[in-house]
Amino acid sequence: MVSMILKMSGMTVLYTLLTVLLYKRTSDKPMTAPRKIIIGIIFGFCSVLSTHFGVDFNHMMVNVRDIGPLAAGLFFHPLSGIIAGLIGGIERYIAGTYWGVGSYTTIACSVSTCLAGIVAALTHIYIFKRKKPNGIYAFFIGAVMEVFHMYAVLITHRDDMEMAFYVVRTCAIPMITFTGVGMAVTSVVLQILCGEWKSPFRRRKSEEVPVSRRFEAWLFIVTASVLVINWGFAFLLQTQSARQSARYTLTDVSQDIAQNYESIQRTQEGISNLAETLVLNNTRAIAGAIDHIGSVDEVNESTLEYWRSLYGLESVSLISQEGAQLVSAGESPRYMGLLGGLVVGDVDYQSARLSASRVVAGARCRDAIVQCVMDTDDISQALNQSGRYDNLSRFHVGSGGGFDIVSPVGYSIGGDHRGQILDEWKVATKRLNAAETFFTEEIFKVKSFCRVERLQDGALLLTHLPEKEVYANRDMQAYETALADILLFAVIYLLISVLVQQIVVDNLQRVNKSLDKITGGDLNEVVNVRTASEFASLSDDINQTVSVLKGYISAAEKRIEQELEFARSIQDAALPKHFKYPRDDFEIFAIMDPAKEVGGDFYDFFFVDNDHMGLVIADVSGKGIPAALFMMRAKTTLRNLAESGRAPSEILFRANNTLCDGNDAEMFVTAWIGIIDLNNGEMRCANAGHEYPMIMRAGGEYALFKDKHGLALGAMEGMRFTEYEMKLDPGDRLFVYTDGVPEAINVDEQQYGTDRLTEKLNALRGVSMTETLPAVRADVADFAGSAEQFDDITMLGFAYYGTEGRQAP
Amino acid sequence: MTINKQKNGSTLTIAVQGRLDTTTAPDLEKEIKTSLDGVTELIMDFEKLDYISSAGLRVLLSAQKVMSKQGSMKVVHVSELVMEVFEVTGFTDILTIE
Repeated sequence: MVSMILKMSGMTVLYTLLTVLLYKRTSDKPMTAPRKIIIGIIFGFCSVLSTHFGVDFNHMMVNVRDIGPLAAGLFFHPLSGIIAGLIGGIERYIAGTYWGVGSYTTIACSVSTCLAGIVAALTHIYIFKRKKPNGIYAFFIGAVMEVFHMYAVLITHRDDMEMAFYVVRTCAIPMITFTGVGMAVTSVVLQILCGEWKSPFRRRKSEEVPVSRRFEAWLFIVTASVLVINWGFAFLLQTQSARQSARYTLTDVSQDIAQNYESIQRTQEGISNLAETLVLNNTRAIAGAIDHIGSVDEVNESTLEYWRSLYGLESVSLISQEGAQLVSAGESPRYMGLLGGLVVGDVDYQSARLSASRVVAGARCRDAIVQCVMDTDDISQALNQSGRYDNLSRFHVGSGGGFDIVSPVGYSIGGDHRGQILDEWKVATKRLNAAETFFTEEIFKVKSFCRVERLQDGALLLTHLPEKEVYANRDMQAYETALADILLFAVIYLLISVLVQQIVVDNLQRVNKSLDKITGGDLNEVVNVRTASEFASLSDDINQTVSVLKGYISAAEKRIEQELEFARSIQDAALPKHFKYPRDDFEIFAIMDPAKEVGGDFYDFFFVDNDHMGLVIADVSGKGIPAALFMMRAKTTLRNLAESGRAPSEILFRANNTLCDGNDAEMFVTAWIGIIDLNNGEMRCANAGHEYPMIMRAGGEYALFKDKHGLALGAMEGMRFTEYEMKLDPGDRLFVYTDGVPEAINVDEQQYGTDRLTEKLNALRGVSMTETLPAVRADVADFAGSAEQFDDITMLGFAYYGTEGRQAP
Repeated sequence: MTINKQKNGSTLTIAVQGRLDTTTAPDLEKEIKTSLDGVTELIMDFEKLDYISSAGLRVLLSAQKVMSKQGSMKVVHVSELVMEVFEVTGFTDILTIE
């Protein structure tokens, strides 16, 4: 037993190791056809090895052959499972048929191994959806496969149930256990390796448990209990019926034996009566003969011997009146006393029984008594030989039971232990005294069903049947029903699980998938699961909800769009649009081209007084309504401060503080401001984190003017800004812009960049500012191509012509 | 844009990859806002940042403001292009750039 467990464990561990090694080697590679076939062959070969290295257990070979195809099919690929199953099964058939290896179970074994591969392949595809089964499922598949194996042994040997039953009883538990546990351990090890292992004992919140899992758990409990209860009832019924039938058997046999025994008794009685008469008559005849002889003295031993053999007697004696033996043939002195007692007195002659088989008679003759003893055994034996007598030995109780007729002193006078003193007699008497006819007791060293009865002559009749024999049929049936029930259970369980999966879970998942798309933003997704009325109505409800929602959203969108349109027009209206001034000492032009939404760019220009003009370009961080509102605030603040005649650094300092005040949204605006004295072209500027301005000196080229930078407005309170001065001479040009220009991208996400901007501007030196800006805008648009404009594009161009006025360029 | 967060004690390193513009800045802002609890040193790793717009700067600014109160913040591995943006916008004055 222990050696069997150790060997089987060793084989199972080898299987697990092989599976884990193969899995580690193949899990990161694609499952190509040759790989599937090689894995199938490896496991098939292991299956074959298991057949030939089976473990001897109670004269039976137990093995774990079926793990091969199961592991190949469940953990690798369906095709590998089928190949391994065919190799293992066909080899098993050949080994059984031609090499005499375990030929008794050839068919059952080879069929179930082939089937193991197919079952593994099918469950891998349809039940586990090509994922690894967890430990519990793996155990059940392994165990159920072996149950089928055992059941196959039973059904292929209907005509020889006892042998088949012996095979199954020996092999079932080790093979089912080791195959199941082997599969479970392999699965758990693989899951741990892949990091997918979840302890089945961890209590999970109900929201984590899928419907199918819960349903399967209940299905398992319900089906299993129904089958267990059903099996239990059948078992009880079988037990009852076995006991009942044992009682019938015992009673029947007992009655027959009792009848027979009594008839033997009667025959014995008849023989004895006959013998009594016979012996008396013979004795009288001898007495008469002696009277005829005349004197007792003339009768010698040889005369008596003559009579003894003539009449077939055991002994013939002549006894004096006083009781002393005179002459004897075949004498048996111990009868003397008895006979002496009998014949003393007036009785002329007498006969009596000495024992069950001996009768004696006496008769008077001249002054003496003739005493003859006859043994009736001879008659009995003669009868017996003719078959009419003492045939108790022909009785059988079942095939392993027996009976004994025990005399009141515990001596077996008939049956299996005839002639022995039986200890069992005490037990039987005790039971009988307690009025228990039937009882179960260890009798003749075998636990048996017994029946005891007192016969008419006071002897006890004890019949017994070994318990094993009583329950043999029940046990066989119990095994077979249990195996059949487990198979039935597996089939029902699988079918219902698959049905639930297909009818409920799959549809739920389809609904969920559509819902995911909807929540992901695709409101055009239509849920269309119409396999059951509930799903149809659920689908309809969801679709309706989505369409209502869509209506609301589009209404809201329209409103927002309208409002944004308004916001944009207000924002646009806030920017100065009149570029023509009735003087020719400068030229100004600006463009603000917002991205899709309202943005935060703005430009501004205004006269501080007759000679001073303020130029502003700014960019608010972010987009949308917040940026637009912040822009309006920034623009108003800057212009108010500038119009009050402050210096640019002062304007930015104050504007920054104003904008920082209560700036919870943490918005900021980059701004460049310049205030030019139109009389002499002197310009004082300050830059709060804005793009470098571009300057073109008369006759020269555009170049970035890397001025001193401060932090954007609104970012941090109390910042100081450096102010600088630059002088524009007649013919000089200034170009300021927001980052939307250099950072415009094309479809390849390349930026337009300041280099390209400078180049373009230089190409436009000959045209007026009013023409330059739209040309730059067009160039940016050309560059961007189909790429979306994601930032506002704003620019402001200023050309200084001086007091001399504008010369034709 | 992809954001990679790595927390080591009270030091949080956020590596930003791709473009940090109007569309992606809110994601970074949410990431930062939800993970600044108990952080005393915030490191912004801009090694793989291709572009930063004013919306991105705003996120940096608000992170800087929070971190000034509870510890320090620095920006590391700044590319030339991004550095230019920091310089132009004056952010070099308020950020610790390494």
